[in-house]
Amino acid sequence: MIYDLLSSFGDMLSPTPFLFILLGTLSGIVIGAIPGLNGAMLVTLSLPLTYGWDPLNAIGLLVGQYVGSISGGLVSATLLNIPGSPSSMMTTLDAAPMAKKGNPERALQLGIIASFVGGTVSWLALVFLSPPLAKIALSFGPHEYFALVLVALMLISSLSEGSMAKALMSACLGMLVAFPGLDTITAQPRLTFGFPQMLAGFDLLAVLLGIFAVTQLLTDAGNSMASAERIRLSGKMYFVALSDLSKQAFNMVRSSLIGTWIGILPGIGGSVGSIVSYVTAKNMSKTPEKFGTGCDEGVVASEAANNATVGGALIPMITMGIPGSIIDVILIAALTLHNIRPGPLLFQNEPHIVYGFMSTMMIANILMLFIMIFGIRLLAKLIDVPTKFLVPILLLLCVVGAFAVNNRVFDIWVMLGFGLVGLLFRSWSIPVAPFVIGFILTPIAETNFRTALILSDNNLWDFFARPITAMFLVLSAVMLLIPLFKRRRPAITTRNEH
Amino acid sequence: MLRTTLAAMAAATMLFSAPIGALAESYPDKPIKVIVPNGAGGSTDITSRLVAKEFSEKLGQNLAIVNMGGGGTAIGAMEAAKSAPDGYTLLSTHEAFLTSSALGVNTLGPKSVKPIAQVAKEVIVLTVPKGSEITSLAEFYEAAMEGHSDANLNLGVSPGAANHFFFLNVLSPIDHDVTFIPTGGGAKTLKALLGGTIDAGVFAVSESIQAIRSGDIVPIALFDKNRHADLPDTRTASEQGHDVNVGLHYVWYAPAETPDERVAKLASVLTEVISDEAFRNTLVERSITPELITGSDLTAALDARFTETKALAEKYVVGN
Repeated sequence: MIYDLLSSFGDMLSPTPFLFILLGTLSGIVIGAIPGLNGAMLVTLSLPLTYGWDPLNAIGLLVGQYVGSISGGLVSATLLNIPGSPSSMMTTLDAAPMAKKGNPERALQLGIIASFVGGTVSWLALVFLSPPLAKIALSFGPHEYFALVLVALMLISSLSEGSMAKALMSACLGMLVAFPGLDTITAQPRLTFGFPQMLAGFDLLAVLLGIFAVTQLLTDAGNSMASAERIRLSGKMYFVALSDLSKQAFNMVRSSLIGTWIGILPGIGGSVGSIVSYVTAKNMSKTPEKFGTGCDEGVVASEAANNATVGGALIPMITMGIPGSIIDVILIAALTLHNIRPGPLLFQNEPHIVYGFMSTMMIANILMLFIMIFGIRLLAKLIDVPTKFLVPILLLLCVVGAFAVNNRVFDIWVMLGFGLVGLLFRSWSIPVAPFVIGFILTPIAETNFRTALILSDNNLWDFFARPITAMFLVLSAVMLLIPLFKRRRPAITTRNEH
Repeated sequence: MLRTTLAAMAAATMLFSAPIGALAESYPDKPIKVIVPNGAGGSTDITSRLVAKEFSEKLGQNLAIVNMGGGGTAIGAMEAAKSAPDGYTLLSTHEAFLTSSALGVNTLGPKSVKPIAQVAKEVIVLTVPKGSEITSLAEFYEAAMEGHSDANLNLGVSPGAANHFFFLNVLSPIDHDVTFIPTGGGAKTLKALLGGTIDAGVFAVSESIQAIRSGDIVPIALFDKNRHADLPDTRTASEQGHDVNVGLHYVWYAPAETPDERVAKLASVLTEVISDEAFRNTLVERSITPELITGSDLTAALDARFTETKALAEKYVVGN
């Protein structure tokens, strides 16, 4: 395994793949730093470009963007007090006050270093947890897969921000949208309303582009960025004292572990990871009253955790084909485009892809550290980019992207339609993450459920006769019922992820 | 009606403008679009692209592969059938086109297109997991036969797709009682076979050769006239006394009304492509068997395959 990993590092460091990782990381940081544009949107938009590339180059670009965009959000969170990407929400609480007090460089550097540590810790988890997990997942049959997907759907609904009822509704709508197309068992058209174009159902990429990119762009076009107070970096060089960093060592590792764990949980990523880690850091701190006024601990907790979710989230994706975060949904779409199916067999059939993910993530993590430490003065200028000029160009790219996959105009309409759906979701503050996860997991759940029934001669009790399946089912029931007994939502409620 | 009028007008224009020979010479004078009704990266796509590359060199005109997946090839195949029949839109597909037509998902059916040439085929192999009690086709039939003693055999298929019909075809000599498990296409069915969810699967040699070589799955019977170069020890079905002949055939089509001389031109160039020794080797390296069939032989073969598929669909699939 170590040998495979090392040789993968060798491959990914050769000029072409390395260039793609560099490009990905750089574009991720830039987009992450511009308020209003986020990583999910960037990765979705870039996906159609990778069509026809070598899969490893595509992975290099997209994973680079994933890592970069999670990190880049720090810049506007610090200097504008606006999270550049949703996962930097908690960073604003302490980084912005610290910057206001005249220490923007310190806030940024702490954030960057914490991001790097978070990425590294979760990378270790990815490397060492994935192979045994894939082995376990290989023994999963349809019963187990169905139950696992159910857990994932419950998890995303109960943990996403806002009311659980809205989240569940969003998940159900996502599931509904997944139904049209050819029935997986009878191969007959289903809910196509007689339109031949509907035989393929709604294209994954068209839906993703619509709900992430188009919705975001239309919202940006409608808003003129409020003239927020911009904090400028002074010209002088500044480096955080090593002793300050070592004081944060324990916090960094703890936050990274929390982030990794949250990342592994299916469907939820950066923003939840940083919330949980921030709250934990505050509760365990000797000086909790300093949180929110610009303390080191707050910045470190949030930034270490959100970067740590990246590696964590890749674990269920690589080993089981179940997305650990929203961007993973898009990565799965990318792999499918290259005819690679993430899942337990990936380790056996295409180990170079698995190790490609691992080495890319580490390379991107290191690149991120260097680009952000040394390029921070340039990155700080990005907060002035007027989003409105970018909107028409990006919208055009959306249209091209939606068309390119299947060469169907129908997909463009689907994309625009879901762009409007996304706007409705926003105006009713329904979280979009459960919708997307429901949409991508439903075909997996349905096929496995029906396959399981065929295997069990239509005996539903068979689900409970299998220990792993029964455990998952009980777990999902518990998650559904907990909110009924617990009246109060977590103390920190935040706005919707997208 | 409109189409006949247009055709008549076109014919009239031809009469007055140029002799037929000169017109045939000028075709093709612009790039040709080839619709592959599957997503990019799959076996149909890769094979089509391999052929297209060689084809365009020999034809002296570019071929643009357009992937239009979904609906079990129905969307792309119907799009091709409805395109202008001028020889500038072609379709490259395989058995899935026949099965989706037999199931009525493709509502236009095989009559909507005209075959140009069959370029290659994937030989199909019946496999079981290692350690299975089934070691021959006879034992497979015994376990699948109605009134068998043990539990039903679980066979992994993608319902309504080619591998489902391969099994139905293989099982047609007997009255079978088996359970079809909807595991999906080749890669997913392979996973189910390795994970122990199913008892047997049919695969193209190209998609299963790796797992066979590693010993994880065991080939029981090969459905072809001759043995396969990559599986020299696997006996064919006819060697085992059963004359079952199934395969995945890559066929190029044009819309039904495409002029015969244009189809003939394309067929002759495709013949050149497939006769090229270097190109044959490219296919063989991928465990794909180059096999050229054109003209009335091809029409007859496709008609027979479709009749058979339709009969199986009506007997076992539709309404079940």
